[in-house]
Amino acid sequence: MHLSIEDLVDLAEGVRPESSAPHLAVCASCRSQLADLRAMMAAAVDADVPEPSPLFWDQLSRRVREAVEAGEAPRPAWNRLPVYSIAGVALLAVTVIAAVKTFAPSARPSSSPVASLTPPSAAAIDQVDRADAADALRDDVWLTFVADLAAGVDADAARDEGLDAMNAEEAVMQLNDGELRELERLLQAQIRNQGD
Amino acid sequence: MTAADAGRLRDLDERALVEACLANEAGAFDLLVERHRRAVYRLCYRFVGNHEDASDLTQDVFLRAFRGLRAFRGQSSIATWLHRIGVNVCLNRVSGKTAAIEPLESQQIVDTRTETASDRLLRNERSARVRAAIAQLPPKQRAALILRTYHDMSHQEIAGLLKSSAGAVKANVFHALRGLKRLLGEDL
Repeated sequence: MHLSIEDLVDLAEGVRPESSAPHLAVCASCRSQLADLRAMMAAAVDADVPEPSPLFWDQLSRRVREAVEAGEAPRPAWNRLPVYSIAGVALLAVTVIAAVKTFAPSARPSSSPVASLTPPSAAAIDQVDRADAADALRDDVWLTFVADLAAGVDADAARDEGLDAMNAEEAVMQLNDGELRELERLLQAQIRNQGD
Repeated sequence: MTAADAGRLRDLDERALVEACLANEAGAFDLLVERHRRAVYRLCYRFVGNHEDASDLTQDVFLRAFRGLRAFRGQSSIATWLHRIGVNVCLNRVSGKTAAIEPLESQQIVDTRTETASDRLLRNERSARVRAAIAQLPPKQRAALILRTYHDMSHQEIAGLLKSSAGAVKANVFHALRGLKRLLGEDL
């Protein structure tokens, strides 16, 4: 019986000594196969990678740096959101809470300057496909909505939260997809609460 | 970055350098790239057989490494971790693309000063033919052969990387070598 593929590879790589395969002594076919494998291994080992120009390495490092700078920075798990975005989301949450309270029928004064605004209903928000949430939130309608909400927020309350330097509309523009989904969740939660 | 900062970074061990990268310390990731770029490039070149694709893949490997630094837990060396990323990036690339082998004249010549010019030329031609043949092998065969021959990985380690078995890796090495024989014929 001829040597198996595994036997031949082990023998060619020297993992096993030839003495462990007495069949080789009586089989020209297996000896020939083993010799071919060894010859190809030797050829492969000898085939070195050509060394690129010394200038290439700096060029490569520069390309990597540029690609990294164009992408997002790695952050520890406990701090995946940049500070400004956390503040942005928190401010928007405060904004939403404050503004939705303003919109609530029981609390909304008839003379409210934002009374004519029609915020999206909870049902409407529920219909937003989560995968499209980022796009939806970037729509002008949403930006206008959030900006108008921000206009009605109690600035002192926001400042008490340490969020006084933020502009809500600008914050929305800076949020990444994950943060936008969080904003969406906050909006949904707050509007649901108002509906209770 | 000041010279003192650069010097301090250079003295950092791997783990500390990763921490510096995660802290977005200026120059930290550049240094990590500098330490490992040659090994990553050589791995990529083995897979694709040409400089242009190897450069692109090397860049991709480091970009993925940067994005995944949080996941690096120090259980293996950075070199091993980058190696794994490199193999995955290369496998993804070669499984969907035919290798573009560069002509011999476009390749850099290895500087081996003890060789005569004709010996060197002959060796470079032979190496180029072998590299071109390797780059034409099916992806799994190519990966098994490269990792076994050039990176001294055991069959079991390769199996883990390729989500395969040690037996399957040996079979891939065997068929890769047979494929080389067929592709190279009596050229060697």
